[in-house]
This record gives sequence, structure tokens and C-alpha cells, in this order.
Amino acid sequence: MSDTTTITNVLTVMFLLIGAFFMLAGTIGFVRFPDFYSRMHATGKCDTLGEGLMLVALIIYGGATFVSVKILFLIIFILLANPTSTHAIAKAAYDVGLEPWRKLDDEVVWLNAGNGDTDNTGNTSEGRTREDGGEVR
Amino acid sequence: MNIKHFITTYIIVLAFWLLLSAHFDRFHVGAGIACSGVVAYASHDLLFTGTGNHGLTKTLRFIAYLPWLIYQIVLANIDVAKRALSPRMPIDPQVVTFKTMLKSDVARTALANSITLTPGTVTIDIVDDVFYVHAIAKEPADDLLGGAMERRIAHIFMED
Repeated sequence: MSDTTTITNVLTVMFLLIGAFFMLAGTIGFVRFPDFYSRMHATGKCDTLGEGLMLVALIIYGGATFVSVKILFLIIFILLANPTSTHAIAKAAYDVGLEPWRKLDDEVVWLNAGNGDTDNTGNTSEGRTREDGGEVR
Repeated sequence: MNIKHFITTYIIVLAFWLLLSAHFDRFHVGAGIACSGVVAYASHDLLFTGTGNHGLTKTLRFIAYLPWLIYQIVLANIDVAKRALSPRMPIDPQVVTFKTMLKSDVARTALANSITLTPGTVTIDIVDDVFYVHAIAKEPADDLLGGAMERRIAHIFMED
């Protein structure tokens, strides 16, 4: 095995592993996070970079071929489509009135996730603005 | 029908066809030339809308913006991975709103997607001039309200 193939293989494995790590972290976040919106953070971000890195690994492995250019287009498409679909799903949830989960004074109240009529924070219906000063610019 | 837009669309579509087919024999290239004509005729008015003037400058500035965006995406992923894997799970989700100064749809879409891709924030909705953004903790929300990203987008689309 020549030196260049060794380097190519090492880079490929490295990118695949890092990509797989981010996919795994995103999936763990998806399971652990308390409500719908925070789960969107985990899947919307980690999948973008995880898939991107794995596809970059395939480009490195394939070299300068037509298939690599197609994979490059895939990456661009994922970069565009992932945040857009994340936004579309989050907007649909917000439109039907799903309240974001709030942290309650260092006490994690799992059962209140997505439930709009809790009386612990007093700001469930004003969830759109911040408590500390509103629309700061 | 704008003949200049038609020809530009035709060339782009044909180049894309050749790239994806990767066969350069008579049959495939011929089919590409024919199909590109139909597609370009049907969609020549879709590609060039909303960019206005200075299309080239905006494109170049957008390309220059990409490395910074990719850097931000990496930061976002490390951030989310840290929060997801940390035993204490340090999250404090909140929805913040801010009013935007961007006017064109393209600029607003770019800002919304950039917000979604960068650390700890997801765009939920845009109502008139107001962005509704879900932040996973307080620090990302404060970073966003600083407005650095909006200024970058405004610079790209020449609205500053």
C-alpha cells in the first residue's frame, strides 16, 4: 500500500468516525431532551454536520470523480433542506399551540413538557417574549 | 419570454445534466440537449427572481460568507453534542423574538436558515418583520440578539 492511499484511508476513517459521533450525539439528544422544540435542535443540527462529514469522507475516498461531484451536490442540498424542514416542522408545532418546555428553578418537571396550563412559571402564554426585558435589539 | 434568461437557464440545466449523467456518447448528450430545452422553457422565469441588481456581487459575498457559516455549524454541533451528552443536561429553552431590518425574501430566508444552523437556536416563524426563535439556553439567545449575523446577511444582500 502506497503512502497516499494510507493517508486517504486514514482521513476517510477519521471523517466517518467524527460524522458517526455527531449522529450518535444527535440521536442521544433526541432521546434525552425534554420537549419537541429542543429535540429539533438535536436532530436539525447534528444530522446536518454528521451527514456532511460522512459524505466528505466518501468524497475523499472516491477522489476526483463524477460521483464525488454528485456527492458534493448532495451536501449542498442537505445544507439547504435540513434547516428548512426543521423550520417547517417547528412552525407547524408552534401554529397548533404546542408550548415550549421551560426549566423551573433548577427543578426538572418532566411531566409538564408540552402542557400549556402549568402554573409554575406564570409565563406560559407569554412564551414568545423574554422575561428580562422583551424584544431587545 | 426573456430570451437571455432562457439561454442562461438552458446552459445551467445542460451542464447539470452532463455532470450527473457522466456519459458522453451520442445518445445521452442528445437526450440532454432535448430535455434541457423543455426544462429551460418551462422554468426560465423561476431562476432569476428576487435577486434584483448587483446579482454577481451578492453571489460572491454569499460565497465568502460560507466558510464562516460552516465554522458556526461545527460550533453548533459541538454545543448540542455537549448538552446532549452532559449528565446534567444544561438546557433552559426559551422563545425569543426580534424585529428584523431585512426586506427581501431571499435575505430573510438566508437569515432564518443561518439561525437554524448556528449554535442553540431554531427559527420557528417569521410574522411580518418579527422573527420567532427557539433558543435552547440563555447564552445562544443573547448571542443572537446581539445581531452580528443579521448584519452579515444585510451586508451580503446590500441592505445595510
